[in-house]
Amino acid sequence: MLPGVITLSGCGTPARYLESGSPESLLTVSGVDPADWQRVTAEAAQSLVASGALKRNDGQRPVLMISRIRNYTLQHLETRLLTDQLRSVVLRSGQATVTSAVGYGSNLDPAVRRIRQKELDDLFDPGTVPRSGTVIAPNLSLSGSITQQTVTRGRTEESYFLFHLTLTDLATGLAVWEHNVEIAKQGTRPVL
Amino acid sequence: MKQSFLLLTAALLLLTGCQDTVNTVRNAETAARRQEVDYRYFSTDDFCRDRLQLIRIDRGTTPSGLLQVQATVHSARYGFWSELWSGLTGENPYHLAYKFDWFDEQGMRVETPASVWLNLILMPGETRFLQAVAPNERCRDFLLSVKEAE
Repeated sequence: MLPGVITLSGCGTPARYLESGSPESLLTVSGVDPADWQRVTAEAAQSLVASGALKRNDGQRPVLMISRIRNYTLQHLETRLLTDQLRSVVLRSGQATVTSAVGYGSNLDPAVRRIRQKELDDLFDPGTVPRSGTVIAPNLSLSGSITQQTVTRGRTEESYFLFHLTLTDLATGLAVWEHNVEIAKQGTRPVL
Repeated sequence: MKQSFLLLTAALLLLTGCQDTVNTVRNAETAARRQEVDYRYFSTDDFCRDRLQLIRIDRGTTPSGLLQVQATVHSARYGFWSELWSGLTGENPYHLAYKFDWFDEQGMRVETPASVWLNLILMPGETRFLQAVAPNERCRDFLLSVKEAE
């Protein structure tokens, strides 16, 4: 009994660091795994900066807001894993700036509105407080959706994910860029 | 003895015959004017080098003015012995991972979320085009890394 317990307790693996994108990273059939987020980010980022949709004819850099990524899957997904990376890509590309004054979820910084509220008048030097009407409105909005379809046959399960991203010109309401990333995964459960 | 040999031969033929390979056809006179990149190839994995042939690397410019590269790779894992081996080891299709790194005019690596290992699944005889776009206009050079994923 005791040797068995000792043997079983010795089978665990202590916590360790993994290289991002490592083949040792856990992979599931029904979930969106770290490698999936990385692939979607990489493909969408390259498509976005390559498209020229962020460039304006007047030479000015457009202002981008990060809108909502709708989750049509059956599970909770942290879409910030995608939008935070895309914000970074857009800023580093030098093609556009990203606003935190308006947006969805964590892409909205409430400090932009908070600092202008009257109750703070006595706290700050009035000459240093940003005035209302100085925030720059966005020209473009990035939104999207994640859709999942799962099929099962016997012990084999297959999931198909479609990540759809759209860049919308807020002046016209027209989509100026769209990109799809498809991910398909399959696995078979053990008999026991 | 003769019967065993025939059975073994039949089993090997069955193993190799069951594998799907990719067949292609294209126009003989291509219209595209390609800018081929003169590359330096450094391999540490002879198996990977022999199984995955690097055909050529081309460069171009995107509508936004960014450097774009395309590496044409070809899976050479077809033919009797290659298919027999991959059939026995369960390595069909061929699972690889690749990554592009970008460097600015001073040779410094440019950080981008797109520089991550991406999976690539190749059928025997398949030709694929690995594309990447520089994250900004300062990028001048690139490094493509490829490794076996399984």
